[in-house]
Amino acid sequence: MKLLRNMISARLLYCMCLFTLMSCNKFLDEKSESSFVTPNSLKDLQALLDNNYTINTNLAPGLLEMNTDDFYVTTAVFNGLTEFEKSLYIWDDEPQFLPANNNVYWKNPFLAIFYANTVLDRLRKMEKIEDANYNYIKGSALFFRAYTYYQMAQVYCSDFRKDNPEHNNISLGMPLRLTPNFEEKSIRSTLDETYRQILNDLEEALNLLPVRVDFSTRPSRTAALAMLARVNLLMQNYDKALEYAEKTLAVHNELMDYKSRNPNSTTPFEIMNPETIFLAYNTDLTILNAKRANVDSTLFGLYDDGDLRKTIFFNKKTDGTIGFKGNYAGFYNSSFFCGLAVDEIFLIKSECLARKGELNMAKATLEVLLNKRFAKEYVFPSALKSQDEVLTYILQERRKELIFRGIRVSDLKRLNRDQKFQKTLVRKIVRDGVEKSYTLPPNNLRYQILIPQDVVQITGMLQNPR
Amino acid sequence: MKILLLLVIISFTSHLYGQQMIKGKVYDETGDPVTKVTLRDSQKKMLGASDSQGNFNIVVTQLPLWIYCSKIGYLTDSIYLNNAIGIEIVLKQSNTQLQEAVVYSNGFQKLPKERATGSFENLGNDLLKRRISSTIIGQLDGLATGLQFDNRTKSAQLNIRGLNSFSGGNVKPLIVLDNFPFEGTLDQINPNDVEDVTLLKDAAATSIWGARAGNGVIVITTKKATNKFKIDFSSNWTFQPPDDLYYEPIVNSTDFIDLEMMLFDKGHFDNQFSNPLALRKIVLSPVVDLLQKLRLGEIQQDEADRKIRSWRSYDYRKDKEKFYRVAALQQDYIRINSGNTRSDHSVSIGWDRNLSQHIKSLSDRISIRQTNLFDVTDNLQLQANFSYTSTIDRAPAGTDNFFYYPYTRLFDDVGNSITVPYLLNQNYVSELGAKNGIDWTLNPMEDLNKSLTKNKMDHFAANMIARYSIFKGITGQLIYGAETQKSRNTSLYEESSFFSRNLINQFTQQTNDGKLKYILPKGAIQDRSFSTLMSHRIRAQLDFAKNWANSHELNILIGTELSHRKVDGNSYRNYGVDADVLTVQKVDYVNPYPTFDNLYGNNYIPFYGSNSQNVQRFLSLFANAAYTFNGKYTISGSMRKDGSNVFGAITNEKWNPLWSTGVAWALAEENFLKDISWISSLKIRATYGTSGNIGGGANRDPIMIYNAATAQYTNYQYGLINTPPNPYLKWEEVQTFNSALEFSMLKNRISGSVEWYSKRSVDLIAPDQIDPTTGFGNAYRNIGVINGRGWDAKLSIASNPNSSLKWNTTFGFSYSKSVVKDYNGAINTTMNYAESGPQILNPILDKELYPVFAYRFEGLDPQNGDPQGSYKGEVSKDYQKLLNDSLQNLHYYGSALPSHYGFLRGMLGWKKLQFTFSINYKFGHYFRKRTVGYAGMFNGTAGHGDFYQRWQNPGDEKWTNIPSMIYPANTSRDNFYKYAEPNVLKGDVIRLQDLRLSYSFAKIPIQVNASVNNVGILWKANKKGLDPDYFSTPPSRIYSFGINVNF
Repeated sequence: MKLLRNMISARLLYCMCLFTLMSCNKFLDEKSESSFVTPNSLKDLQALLDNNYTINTNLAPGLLEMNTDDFYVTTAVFNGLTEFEKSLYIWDDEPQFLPANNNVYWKNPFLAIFYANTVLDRLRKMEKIEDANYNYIKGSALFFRAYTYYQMAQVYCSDFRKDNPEHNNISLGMPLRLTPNFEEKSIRSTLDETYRQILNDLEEALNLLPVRVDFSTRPSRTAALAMLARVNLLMQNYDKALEYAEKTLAVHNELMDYKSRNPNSTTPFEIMNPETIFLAYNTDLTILNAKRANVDSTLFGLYDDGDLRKTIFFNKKTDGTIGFKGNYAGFYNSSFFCGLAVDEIFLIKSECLARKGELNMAKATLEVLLNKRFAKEYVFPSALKSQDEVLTYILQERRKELIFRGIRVSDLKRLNRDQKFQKTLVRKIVRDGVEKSYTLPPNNLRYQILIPQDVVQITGMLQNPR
Repeated sequence: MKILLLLVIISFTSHLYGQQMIKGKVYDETGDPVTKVTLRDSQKKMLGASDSQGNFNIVVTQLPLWIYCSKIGYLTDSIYLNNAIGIEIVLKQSNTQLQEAVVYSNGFQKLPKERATGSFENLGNDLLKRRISSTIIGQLDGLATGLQFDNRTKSAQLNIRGLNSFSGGNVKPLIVLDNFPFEGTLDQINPNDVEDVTLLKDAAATSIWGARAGNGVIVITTKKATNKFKIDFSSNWTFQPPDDLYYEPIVNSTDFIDLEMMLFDKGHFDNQFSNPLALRKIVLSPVVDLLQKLRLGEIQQDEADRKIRSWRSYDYRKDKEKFYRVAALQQDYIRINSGNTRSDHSVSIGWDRNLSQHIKSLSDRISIRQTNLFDVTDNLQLQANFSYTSTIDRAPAGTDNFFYYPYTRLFDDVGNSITVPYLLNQNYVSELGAKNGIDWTLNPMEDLNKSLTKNKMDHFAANMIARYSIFKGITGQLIYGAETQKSRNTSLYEESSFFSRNLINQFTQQTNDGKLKYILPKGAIQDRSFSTLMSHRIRAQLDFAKNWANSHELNILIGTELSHRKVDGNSYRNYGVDADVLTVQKVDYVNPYPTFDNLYGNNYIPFYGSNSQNVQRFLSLFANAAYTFNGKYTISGSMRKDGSNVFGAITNEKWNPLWSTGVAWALAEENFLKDISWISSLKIRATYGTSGNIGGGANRDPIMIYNAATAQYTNYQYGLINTPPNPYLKWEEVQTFNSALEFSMLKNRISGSVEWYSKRSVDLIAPDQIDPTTGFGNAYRNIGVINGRGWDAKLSIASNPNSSLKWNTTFGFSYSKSVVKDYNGAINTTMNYAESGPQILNPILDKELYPVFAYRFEGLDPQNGDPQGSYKGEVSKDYQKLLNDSLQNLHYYGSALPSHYGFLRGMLGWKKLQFTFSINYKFGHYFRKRTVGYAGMFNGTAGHGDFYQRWQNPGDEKWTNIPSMIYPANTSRDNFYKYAEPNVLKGDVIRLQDLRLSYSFAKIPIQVNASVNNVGILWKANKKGLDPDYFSTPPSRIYSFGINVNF
């Protein structure tokens, strides 16, 4: 009998414990880490987009400079490079991406896209608030996504050809991930779809973003306009590009006067300098470090003695070679500015005007820019009269101004379509005592860098043709 | 034999309110009084207990009656009392020999050895105190079977019966102090306060700890108050000479200088001089600097020759010696114990002072512990324990991780400390000093005195236990434990320290009139960090024990536990500190400033500060039951269910209880063995069950983490998403089957056990490779499986207890092997496994953890001494291809952790003199030796001494495997050889761990002892003179002397 009583009391206690367990779910709901949250508020989403370590530095794969004619390295430097950089430098058919390379050149930019998609997804799930911040956050996410896809398309995709829709429809674009859903398979879109997505995102963002922001790490309406000018130029929509360039300059046309910049400094420009519309910089590629990379001597020769850029952008190494130091991101390392700045918009405007045949306006636009670059007053060379001459000159100025800005590779691809501007890139390395030349002819498939092999293997997505 | 009972009339009777007081005394067979003997009536009602002199007073209401006297370790005695006259009782020890009843503690209950079905191992006080150490963990190495110490990094990593998880943080055993998992730092426990340690090895033993016990449990029980008046005092001195700086062979200065001169001639360093802006930040070795100056005509040939000649004879290790000293540790400890019939108390104080090998590092610890036991009423017992520990560590925070070349000098000829080239080019630095008055030099010895890191930690713990006998056989227990640990870490860098100067200089500006302007104020820099741990635990527990008709014994325990643990932390930095009056200066963190001479472009003043809070809560239900029939057959079972805020709601919902079950059969009690007199005991037992391992939590939504500091340029708050949402994650599970045979014979002179176990760890959390296009390279999933199995065996032999020469010896053998059976997580490069295999867990399918791989080596090329490998079955020198060859083509040796390990320990005693020793062995594992890498050597880091055995002339390949030196160096060639077969060696080793001699004086209660620890290696498989137990220099011998006084 007693035993029974004991058993009952034991069972009672157990029931009590069970009850406690259930009612104590609240006890277990306590957040384990005070800094952990599920991003549910506008504040949280804004904080995600303000992570400029993940976003503004990852928007652009550092590979943007690899297929340009702006720099070279000596054999001694070449020998000290990683195998990955070596094979990129000599335009190997199949540079082998190691896991670290995958991360930097593929995964990280897609992480920025994931952040943007997460923000858009959480916004959709939120009750629609008529709130300036809501629009702002949405616009920012769209801008970041478009910007990243644009930069990646420059590395991994063929160039957009306005006159050849068939090419745009059969060429491989980027895999367009538009939601944060992990179950979704990554499939490459067409080039046309990729550019359409970029334009759609930018145009939608345009109406959501404020004209000005406090820090150029955040996108603004001006940035969206400038970006639309850049993308349209690339797509050879010169009228549209001109329209957007003018709209951009209507709100932001401040240029730095290089006369007030210190030519002895390794960092003559500060980060977020007055010309910056949107701040982004490349992820490192050690080959580009000023210690290793030498500026192409023909290019250096193009700068006049009166051109302040000759001393502000460059320094002479003791062996007579030239190093670059005019980084708009304010660093002296291998992370280069690849955001949007006012000088580029002047050049877009000038080029579009020239292509339209409005040569005087084109010259005047360029003069405004170059006046801030020369020690004395700059005048457009009067000898150049024909549209071709003016355009060629403007394109050369474009190359000289926008060096190491992640733009040259897109220009090379775009201009290679035009017989007049075609160029074969050549690099020379001494191997086993013999100098060997490596070339990248115009419109070569190797302008599109391979999708990292692991990505192709895991997803089964199509590899770039060789 | 039965009861010895003596009734002697020595006392008087008394009558109190109709009751009668009876006085008496309890003795053992040798005539010594026995304390804490409980006296009960036939209803098992407690009447009283004997005190420290063995005396008792009991009050009875009626006579005559039977009283029962019992105490653990003694046979229960019953006495028929028919008058109220004082009595004297003699109790007999329950086992013939000094065998004390072994009782296992699992942190919830005490379990007699006879009833245990699971795998427990008890390490008593005698064993623990053999080795003098300031930490309890330090005393456990090589003491128990199945407990492995991985000392390779010099900070011990423990595992019980192998590794059960893929992440380093998840392979540690749970450590329980008294009743609860220990939350503080183990260094806080004074080993002198420890009574014993119990290892819980299989599922039945550990399942009561549920989701935290997958790796086994170490239960530490502290000394409790006893009834006797007793004072223990001990004092120990320990000395340890500095570790051997010359352990690793290096290229000596003169050869290194020759090498630098050769490289200089070949133009190896020319690149560094090409860019004057970059050169400012390139530190040159003195020889290279000198040769460049000579080339530029800045110095004369004979001066250069003279300098180089003088450097040739230096060895930086000689100067480095002055940074070390003989480490000394002094430990003093006193414990006082007293009590009366109703309550017992003890208090202990320990003081440890430790001077480290590094000349400026020292630490202090004071520990105080108090325990109290109150018998409030016959049914209610209260226990209250308090402990307080305070530790202070001091160490210099100076910069001593500078660029070494073998002829580095830290002191000049007369012994004054001097500067070394560091961080910035030495010529640039001296120019700055002369021209601008900016001091950017580093003097390593002096810098030691200019900065100090002080770490102060206070730990306070209290627990209260109320034990109440509700009914006969049912005891309720309520336990409350509180613990708090505060740590304060302060680093103060004086203004003249390199750390402060470096930062101040960076932010120094030159104004137009040539003056210096300090953006970062001059003064000391102070970093402080604070953390507070607070934990509360409440446990309610019911114990039920019942015995029917002497043949059925049932024990049930059920309970619930609630725990809450919060850690708060914050840290900050002060600039411009005046160390005397502790004033600080304000700085501008928000705006960037141009750095001095534009060395680092524009920069922000480094901000240092954080705030964090972490809360861990558990809610658990547990039950455990055992039934024994006829004292021969036992079955047991247990289960536990845990919920935690760490796992998240989804995991809590679907979690099934962890459970275990076991059986035991005491064969020796059976009739067919009872008559065999030489068998003292024989038992077989087997268990099966599951326990868990905490992994990450599951989450349906992305979890965003706010970064503690705001973003650099914008000062905005910002967040990160580090892991993709993962709604399916749950904790890891370890399933264990254990079977054992235990025996003792010849009156316990020979005893031992053999255990066999097999484990399957499932749902192991591992990073699963996912499409990087998602933005993440991998997601954590429960995808891994490890199968483990092994043996633990122990054999003890003791001398005849009656002989004057006493000896005993114990052998312990452990074998454990764990193989990864399922893993499809991230795969690293082949080179990665070849390089880091032995150092990190590196799960690979069908391999053991810590896998050791090496590139297949085909000897040196007889023409030029190039190392040769094998690619696709052919001899190859394509190092790129060789390095990235498929992992299957590499030579897989096995694990870097020994599969066989164990110990042999012995004691030899003659009269009052006792000698003990212990020998440890480890077999079946591999390690990789370091070797020369020419690329690294050419870049100025001191080369490995294998340089001298390198191939130099055709024919050398017959006696050496070390490749020839080539210029330019080829990193792939270096790496191929570094991670090739010749550098993987067998780790097998037998080590004489410790020796100890002690003497107890006959007339006075004093014992003195002397011991040596880390005595040395008796035998090792490798012939290179390397100690396989350590990655780097092994620790040197430790000498200890001690004195104990007990009365």
